[in-house]
Amino acid sequence: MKKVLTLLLTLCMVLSLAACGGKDSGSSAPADSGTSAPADTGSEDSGDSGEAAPSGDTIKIGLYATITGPNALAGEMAEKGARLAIKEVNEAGGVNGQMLELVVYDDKSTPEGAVRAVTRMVDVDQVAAMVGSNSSPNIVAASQITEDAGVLQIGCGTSPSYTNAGYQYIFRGTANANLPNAAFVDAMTQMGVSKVAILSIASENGVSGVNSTKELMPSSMEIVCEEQYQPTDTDFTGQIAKVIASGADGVILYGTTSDSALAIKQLRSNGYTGYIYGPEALGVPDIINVGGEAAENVIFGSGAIIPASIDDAANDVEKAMLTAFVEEYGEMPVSDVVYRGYDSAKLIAIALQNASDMSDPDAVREAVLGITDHEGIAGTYNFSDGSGDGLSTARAYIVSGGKNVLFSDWLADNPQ
Amino acid sequence: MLLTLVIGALMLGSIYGLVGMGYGLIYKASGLMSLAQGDMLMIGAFLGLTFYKILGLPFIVSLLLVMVIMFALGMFIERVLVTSLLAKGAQTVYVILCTIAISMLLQNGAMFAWGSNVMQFPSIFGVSSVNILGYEILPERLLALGVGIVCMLALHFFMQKSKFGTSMRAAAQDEMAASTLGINVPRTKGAAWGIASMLAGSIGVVVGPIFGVYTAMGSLIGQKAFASAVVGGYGNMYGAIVGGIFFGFVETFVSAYVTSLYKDFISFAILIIVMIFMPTGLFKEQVME
Amino acid sequence: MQTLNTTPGGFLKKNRYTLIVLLILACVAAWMLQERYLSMILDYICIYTIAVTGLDILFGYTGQVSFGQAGFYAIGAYTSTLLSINLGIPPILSILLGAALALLFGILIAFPASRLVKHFLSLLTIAFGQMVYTYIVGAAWLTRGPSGITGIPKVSLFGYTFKGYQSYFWLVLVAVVLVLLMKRNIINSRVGRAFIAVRENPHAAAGMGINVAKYKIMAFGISAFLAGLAGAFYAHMVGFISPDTFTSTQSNMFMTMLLFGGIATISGSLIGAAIITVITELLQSFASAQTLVYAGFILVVLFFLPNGVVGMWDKARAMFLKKRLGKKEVAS
Repeated sequence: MKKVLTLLLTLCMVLSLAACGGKDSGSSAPADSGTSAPADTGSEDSGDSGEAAPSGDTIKIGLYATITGPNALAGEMAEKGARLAIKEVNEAGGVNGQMLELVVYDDKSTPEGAVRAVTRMVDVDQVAAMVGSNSSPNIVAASQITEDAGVLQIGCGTSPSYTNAGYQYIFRGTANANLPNAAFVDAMTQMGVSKVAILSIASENGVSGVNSTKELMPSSMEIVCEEQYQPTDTDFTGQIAKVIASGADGVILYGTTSDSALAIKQLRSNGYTGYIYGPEALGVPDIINVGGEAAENVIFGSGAIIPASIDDAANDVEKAMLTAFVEEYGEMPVSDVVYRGYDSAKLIAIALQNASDMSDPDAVREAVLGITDHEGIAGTYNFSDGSGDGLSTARAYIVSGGKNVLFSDWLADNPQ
Repeated sequence: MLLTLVIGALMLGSIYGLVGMGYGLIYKASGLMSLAQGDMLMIGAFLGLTFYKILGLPFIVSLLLVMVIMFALGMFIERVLVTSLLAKGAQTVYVILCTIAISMLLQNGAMFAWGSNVMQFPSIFGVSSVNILGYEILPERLLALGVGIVCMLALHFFMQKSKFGTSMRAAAQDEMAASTLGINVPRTKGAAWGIASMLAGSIGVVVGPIFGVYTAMGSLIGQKAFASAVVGGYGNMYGAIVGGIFFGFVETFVSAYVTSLYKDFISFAILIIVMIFMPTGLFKEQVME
Repeated sequence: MQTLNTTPGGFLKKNRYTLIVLLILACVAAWMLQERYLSMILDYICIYTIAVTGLDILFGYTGQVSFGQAGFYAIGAYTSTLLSINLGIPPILSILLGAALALLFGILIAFPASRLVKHFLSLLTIAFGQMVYTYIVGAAWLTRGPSGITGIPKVSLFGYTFKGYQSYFWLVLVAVVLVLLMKRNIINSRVGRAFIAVRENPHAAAGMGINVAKYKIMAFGISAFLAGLAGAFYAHMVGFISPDTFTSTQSNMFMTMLLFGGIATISGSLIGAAIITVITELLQSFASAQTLVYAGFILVVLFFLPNGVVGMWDKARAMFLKKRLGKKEVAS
């Protein structure tokens, strides 16, 4: 007992000395000092980054994404997109003459990993702003940290959850999932679907996506079957048998890219020949590559898609970005997440450029709100309404003849 | 609907069963447990894809090549890694952790070698479905089932009739006695690990066209296969097949008629219940201390 | 085992190396506490130490393996979260209730588990971890499913709220010290000796009149309680939980920490938790190769550090003492 007590006393003494020292230096006064509002600590922290910025030659921009784990591909795409955007900004002279530097961390596809990565970026790297993960729950987990520190975060996740949470410094650099959902639900209405079967992944993305889709559905549509699968599942025979047996005339497939490709193949091989509807996950090139013929008649809503070749790009911004991407990495991107990373990083650069004081969170927020007509790849961003979302439209596409075709064009050629 | 479900369940069952047989073999021969069998399936699928799609070899050649490579890999893991761990006097849990590390290495290594997206394994037969009694069935599903049955029979005859198979069984029963009879016990152990990973690898090649090929494809299959092996009676080859088909049916029918959300929950619950009330499995293998 | 020595006399002299190490540790901790990010790392180390200590009592002392600790970790986290959010129970109490529920589950699972040998025990615990995980994903009405729960209240004690990482450290530090003291007392008691007897030879233990099943269940209960406690502390620290945290990766990490630190020692769990946590942070610079490096690291530990860091330390000290002893003999 004596031994332990001695040890404890020593430990406590040294620690308490240190704690006092810590508070004196005030580098990041513990938020527990009681009544201090989040904004107070915020200005203090960003004050630090404000001091750090002029001393260094570069402005640090953070990025955290699912670099490892089941969604490694998407994380890699977000990183590559952001890198390209930062490179372009620097080649064009940087932000107010200062170069940007991208700091990348892996959130390991877990909220815990996101919290660690974001804390590190805010406190250690003292980034001026950051590109948020492509995984929405990870943004939700980490958003309080950037909010308290007053660091601008532009997320790559599509779930409405994090922009609906009422945060001040969090925006979205892609389409809110409600938009693609509305686009494909609209296509379903035009196709005259009346009985719907829903097959979705048991993850945040699937759950929130299905909820938003249900709210958007007109009352004329009846849900006859609703099935879920786990992210680790490989065989969907049971669920698909139920979907087919339900006699639905339209199937909504809400998942991530890799499992969607699998589900489409299995739906087809089990004899489903009708149309399959879904969000932007169905719009990546892999669906056509992996699904082959099975991917025909897949209709999806998306802000922007990866075209079959650079020449098929929807607009000039997209064409320029894809040309640069191929030049940089030697191949076409494989997922639209690359656009999210690119748009988010570009938006950050614009906001920092326009902000009256880069180190003042409110000035940066004002600068983001002041972005009203930025031509991004996913569309024209306008943040002036303060909702955190910059895009207001998404379009529906259909896979026809091994290519993604605009649904409205296709419908004109193939009247139902 | 019923026939589709039955074929699906049988196919899934034979996958679980074959991988599960590998666990049984490893346990019988060396008294150890490997948690990397699911990833062996994944590596087999990637290798098969490389030979068949990228190098353009005939399917059967690709399958045989994969079997040879996987056998060597399994043998390597036992002869080099596991044996030297045991030589240091490590407990069995260290071996389990070692196979967990191997599983991480395989998954991450595959990500570097083949990328992290789902790769398409081209259809082997060129037709998308065959019609049986008015039901559309993917021919690869029948192939998976067929390969499962062939492997099972081949293993049965190998173990029962061949000289090496007999010495493997002898070594498993009594190591000491077997080695006094001149049986090379370390070699039979290595061969058991080799055959186990060969089984997993070849089934990987066959399921590639159905499931697509990606780095995480084996992780859950590996655990379900283990469950199958236990329910059948751990260490009993035939028990693993029965256990596998049992889980194939449970999963497919539970998700079709009850709930797809709690499918895995129910599977694992059944496993725990079996371990509590029937720890020797269906085939009464000894597992108690 | 030499740390189990309890004679008070000559304590300072005998343990001066331990003391020096502790002093250095305290200084490092003190330096880390000045930064919020580093304090967060300290908090994680403390939380993991609690969970790994439980695993050590179960595996290190009693010889019962578990690859499903993440299940208990999840039960503690979710119970405490739901109680504090839905019923308004103060977090300091709900944390204990969460740990208590984990204890209950630990005892439940221990009844069948106490009859199984190692491999099957591994599988049973893996299956249990998977069941908990699939349940929290599926039961969206209770756990909000994969979306996770936000806005978990912070811990308050006597009107003081542990809001930041720096202040939270004091809370988890006290918990760690209490847990380590508890561990030490258990190990030095009759119960602890029974644990070790069960590990060394269950048949002999039973022959000596030790109720083997009872002690196995007790060890399971303690380990589940501590894992649940750690999970609850985790939930109230981060303020957000979702199923992604409670996968088998987490269970494997606890096991790696324990083996790395060294089993059946008082300080092993702390050392293992600290080193693995720091290493995973350092691995960030390897980006997508970090899992590869991590797996390679586990293999290195297994092959070259079979007794963990503590074992290596003891070996090095023994060699040093021997050398000095040798010199003295030569001199005389």
